[in-house]
Formats: sequence, structure tokens, C-alpha cells
Amino acid sequence: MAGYVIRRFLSLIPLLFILSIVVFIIIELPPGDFLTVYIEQLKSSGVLISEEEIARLVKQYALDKPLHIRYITWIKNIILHGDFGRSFRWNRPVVELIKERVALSAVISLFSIVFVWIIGVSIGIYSAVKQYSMFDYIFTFIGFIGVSIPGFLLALLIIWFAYTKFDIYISGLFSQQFVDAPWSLAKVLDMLKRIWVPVIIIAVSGIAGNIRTMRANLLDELRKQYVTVARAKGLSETRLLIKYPIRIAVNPMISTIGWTLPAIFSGESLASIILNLPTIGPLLMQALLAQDMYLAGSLILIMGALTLVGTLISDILLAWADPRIRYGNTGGK
Amino acid sequence: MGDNVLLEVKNLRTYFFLDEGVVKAVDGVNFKIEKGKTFGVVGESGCGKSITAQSILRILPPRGEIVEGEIIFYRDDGSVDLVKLDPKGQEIRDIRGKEVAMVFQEPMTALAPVYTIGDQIIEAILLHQNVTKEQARKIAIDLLGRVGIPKPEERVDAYPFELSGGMRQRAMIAMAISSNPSLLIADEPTTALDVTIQAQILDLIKNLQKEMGMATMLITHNMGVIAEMADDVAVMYLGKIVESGPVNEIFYNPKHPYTVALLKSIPKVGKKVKGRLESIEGMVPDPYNLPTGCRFHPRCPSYVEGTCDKAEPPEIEITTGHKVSCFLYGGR
Ligand SMILES: Nc1ncnc2c1ncn2[C@@H]1O[C@H](COP(=O)(O)OP(=O)(O)OP(=O)(O)O)[C@@H](O)[C@H]1O
Ligand SMILES: [Mg+2]
Repeated sequence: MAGYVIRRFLSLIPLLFILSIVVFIIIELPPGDFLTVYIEQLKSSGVLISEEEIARLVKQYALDKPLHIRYITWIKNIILHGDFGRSFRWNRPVVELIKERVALSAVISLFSIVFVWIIGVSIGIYSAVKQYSMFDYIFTFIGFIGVSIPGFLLALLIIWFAYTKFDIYISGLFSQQFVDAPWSLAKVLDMLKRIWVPVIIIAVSGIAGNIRTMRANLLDELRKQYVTVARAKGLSETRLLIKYPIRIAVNPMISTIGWTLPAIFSGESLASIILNLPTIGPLLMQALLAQDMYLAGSLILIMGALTLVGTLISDILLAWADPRIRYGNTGGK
Repeated sequence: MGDNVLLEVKNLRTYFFLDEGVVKAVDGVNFKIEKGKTFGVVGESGCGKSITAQSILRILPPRGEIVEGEIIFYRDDGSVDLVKLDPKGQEIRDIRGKEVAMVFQEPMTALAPVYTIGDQIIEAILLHQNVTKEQARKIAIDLLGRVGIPKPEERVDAYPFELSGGMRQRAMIAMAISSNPSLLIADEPTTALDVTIQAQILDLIKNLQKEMGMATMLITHNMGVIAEMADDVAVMYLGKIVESGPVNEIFYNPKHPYTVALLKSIPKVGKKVKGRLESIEGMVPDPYNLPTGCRFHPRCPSYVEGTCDKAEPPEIEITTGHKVSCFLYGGR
């Protein structure tokens, strides 16, 4: 097991390297370097920038140096100083912008993930165990609808419904008076009052997906011989279900846990954009639209890295849960 | 017979209620298993052998139901009708694995992949015996040794995928005999194994049976296995027992045309071995639309029109214990 973990960790290094190259290319893609754009922008708004300031920035980002030096400077700034560059659109360091939003993204995502897993998996289990029951039919149908409706459509529907029926305009995560207010208990309470809308919207498709996956996995497992064997031993039905088929049916889902890591960071983008939430997803979209390349590149880099790390976590969890993988025997003899 | 009966099945009917129709998997089956003896059940694929066995333990798949009949299990302190028990209740669960244990056809999938074989055997021991975990582990190691697994102290911690099919089946047998059952149901215990290993496993079952004095219900489609192992035999065809009796009667004095055909299909030395029971003409009929009258009549070489397709043949006792359901021997 230890050897496996170390091997997987080492394999992360070249992957992260490739990711950083790709992101660097993305950053360099638009014509002209960011400084030129930055200076243009300042000029057009009537602000003059000093020669010293320009020289300092040129040096900091190695803009006068060839490509590979620029890459090394960029990645060194990130790794050694946590400096992801500047967003010229916001005229602020990228790190600051991310810090501001990442907590909210995480809160919304974590809430929805807890919902998705607890509700999705339990309903999936119950549906499979009670296959052909009314409950199963109803939730299979709901699950089908849930995965078919895109999150943004659901968001629009809920906004429209709340607006026409209750005359409430659901937008953003805070009431008007709290948007720019500093954090306080009242602001947190205000947020908790509004947070369920995005949480539900984001969770619905996840729950539906988990119901379907769990139900299908478990139905497959329930048909297997070892379940009958366990029953023939004299185990009680509940103990048997938990110890054997459910335990095994959850295994493949463990491999998706890791992918929730980038999702926690970004939040569900489309729904967030429509609901006007101050999370990372909309930030990335705006950055891409405005060719705010250091910001966009940084966000992509972080999400990519989180995906890699998440996959690693999944793999390790899966190996821990399933001896067949731990022992490097994937196909079975 | 008489006092020596361990299990008596009377008029058992187990049906599957599916959207496509009702499958009468077991349709009026009668037999007795004597203490310490081997009762062989033979028949083509799909004739209801496994469902009969699963009815006894009340571990039928979803949608399968016992609609009629009794399954009387005799103990020293009285008898119990297994059909009357709640399939999820404590009473049947105390019988499962302890008094009636089962070995299955597919050793590759019969053990759960994520637990060691020791874990799965110890679980069975702890369930039925009053011992500590350490004692249960010792018992498990001892059992693995008894079923012929080399280095049992090491293998007890092996995962199923680390063992060959034959070794897994041995582990399954160790689990099944862990609580000294009085009846071992072996549902095609060797079908999935290589021929040489088949013989070893059958020998193992035979020896354990002698040592422990347990009865065995041995299910197979191989008449050769029956000849080697069984004391009494029941021949099943489409949910019914068409002929039953002591093994010598069945082999040397077969009455039912189906039994005769089965016996002809035993591969002889020097003859090319074909597939399963291939020499019987025709296909097994569709389970949703069983033939009227005698179910074997569409494939029967001795078919009598107007008789065999009109009524079901009654069971006739030819000699003591040798019963056959066929109009050739009366009941017209
Ligand atoms: N889970 C199930 N659902 C529906 N029908 C079933 C199910 N299991 C068995 N049957 C039906 O019951 C009948 C008897 O099946 P059974 O498994 O007892 O056959 P078998 O004699 O054990 O055959 P084999 O030699 O292939 O194991 C078959 O017609 C089969 O189609
Ligand atoms: Mg079978």
C-alpha cells in the first residue's frame, strides 16, 4: 500500500508539469503581453504609470526575457511566493480575488456535496433493495428527470417561479444591505437563508446521478453469488447488505469523490452565473471573456491541479477500499 | 427409511411471478433425504434443481415464491416445516449455515472479493458458535487444513482472487462445514472446475461426509457424478421429479424414457465427449409455455398420442423406493 501511494504521488509530478505548460501557453496566447494591455488600459482611463513602475513589473514577470525564462519566473513566483500574477481587469493580484471567493464556493459546494452523497446514496440503496416497489419507480423517474434537466435551466425555473408566485427576486447570496457589509453573525444568517437555493439547484443533478449510479451498482452486486452465500450463512439481511453488496457497490463511486475537489473550488459555474453568486465559476467566465489571462490561467491551473490531486485521493481511497486494486490485480485471475 | 429421514419435501411448488408470465420452476416435487446419506438430483439446465435447493434454505431470488408444499426438517427434538418460517426471521437464519449449509456452483463469485477468505469463514463460525474471535480464527485455520488447503495459517489471510478456482471451492466447503451441519447442499460444486480438480473436490466431499456423518444433497447434470457419489437419486425434468430411487435401481433398471436418455448420454471411455446431455433429441421447452400432459412428451421416443399429451402421468412405485411418473408403467 505504501509503495502504491508513493508511486502515485511521483506520477503526479510530470502531470502537474504538463498542466503548468498548457496553462502557460494559454496565458501567452493573446497577442501582446499583459503589461502592454495593462498600460493601454491605464492610459485610456487617464492614469499615467511611471517608468519605474513599468520597469519593476517587467522585471517581476521577466517580460523582456525569452519564453522559457518567462515560464520559469512565472512558475517560481507561484511556487515560492504564491504569486499568481495580476488581474488587469480588476487591477489586483489574482490571489486576492480568489481568496475572496473561494470560501463561498466551498461553502455552497460542501453543502451540496453532503446532500448529494447522503441523499443520493441512501435513496439509491433503498431503490435497489426494494426494486420494483412504488418507491423505486417514483425515484427512478425523479432521478431520470434530475439528470436530464441542466442546472442552469433549473436555476432559471426557480428564479422565475419565486418571482412570479412569491414576488421574490432570488439573486446573489446576500440581501442588499449585506452585499458590501463586513462579515458578521447577521450576514452569515442572511447567507444561510439564501444559500439553499443554489445548494438545491446544484445538488439536484448530483443527487439524481448518485441515485442512478448507486442503484445500478447495487442491483449488479445484489445479483452476485456471494450475496446468496452470505444469506445462506445465516446473516441477517441488514448486516449482510451493509457488509457485502453495499460496501462493494460504493467502491466505484469512491473514484468520483476526487473530482468533487475542483468542484468545491469552483462551485457549479452555470447555475452560479445565473443566480449571480460571488463564487469562482463566474469569475473564471468573466476572466475568459475579458482575456484577463493571468486570472483565467491561474484559475485553470488551480482547478487542473485540484483535479489531479483529487484523482490521486480517489485512487488511494479506492486502493484502500478494494484489495483487488491494492494488490495490483485489476482483471481477476 | 422411516426414522432415518432428515428432510422431507412434499408437493413443493416454487413459482416466479414475472412480467412475462409465471415460471413454474418447481412444480410439485416430493422427496426425502436420509440422515448421513447422499441424495443426488440430476437433470438438464433449467429444470429447477437450484430453485429446489434454494427453496429449502428459503433463499430464493426476488419474485420467486413457494406457493404450495411442505419442507419438513427433522431434528432430535422435533420437526419444523421450513415453508412456514419467515425467510428473514431468526429461526431460519439459525438453521442456515448451522444445520443446513450450502456450497455453490461458481467458486469464482461465491466469495466476496473485498474480504479475506478467513474473514468470511470466521464470520460464519461466530454467527453459529459461542467462541471468541481468536478461537474462531483457529477453527477456520483448522478447517482450511482439513479441506486440503496447503499452509492454512497463511491462506486464511488470502483474498479470494489470490486463490485458484479449486482452492476457492475448498474454502467454500470449509465455510459450509464450519458448524457441523446435518445436511450439506452442494449445488453443482464441480461444474465450473477442471476435470482433475472435479474429482478431488468430490472425493473431499465424500470423505468429509463420512467423517462428519452429514447428509448431502448433491445437485449435478452429470450422471457419472451421481454414479460415484449418490445413495438415492431423483431425476428432474422441467420442475418435476420424473423418476427416483436407489442409485442401483436407477442405473440398472431405469424406467422413464428421460432417465434412459440421460444414461445414454454419459460419456463412455474411448468415446468422444460431447456437450451436456447432448444425445437427447429436441430442445428444453419454453418455461412460460410448458407442454400439456407429460412435460417430456414432445421429446419422448415412446410418446403415445392422445395419452401423454392429455394428462399428467401419476407417480407409480415400481419396486420399494423406486418411483416413476410415466404412462408406460400404468395410470392410463
Ligand atoms: N431469478 C430468477 N428469476 C426468474 N426465473 C428464474 C430465476 N432463477 C431461476 N429461474 C427459472 O427457474 C427455472 C429453474 O431454474 P434453476 O436455476 O433451478 O435451474 P437448474 O436446474 O439449477 O439449472 P442449472 O443446471 O443451469 O443450474 C428456470 O426455468 C429458470 O428460468
Ligand atoms: Mg442450478
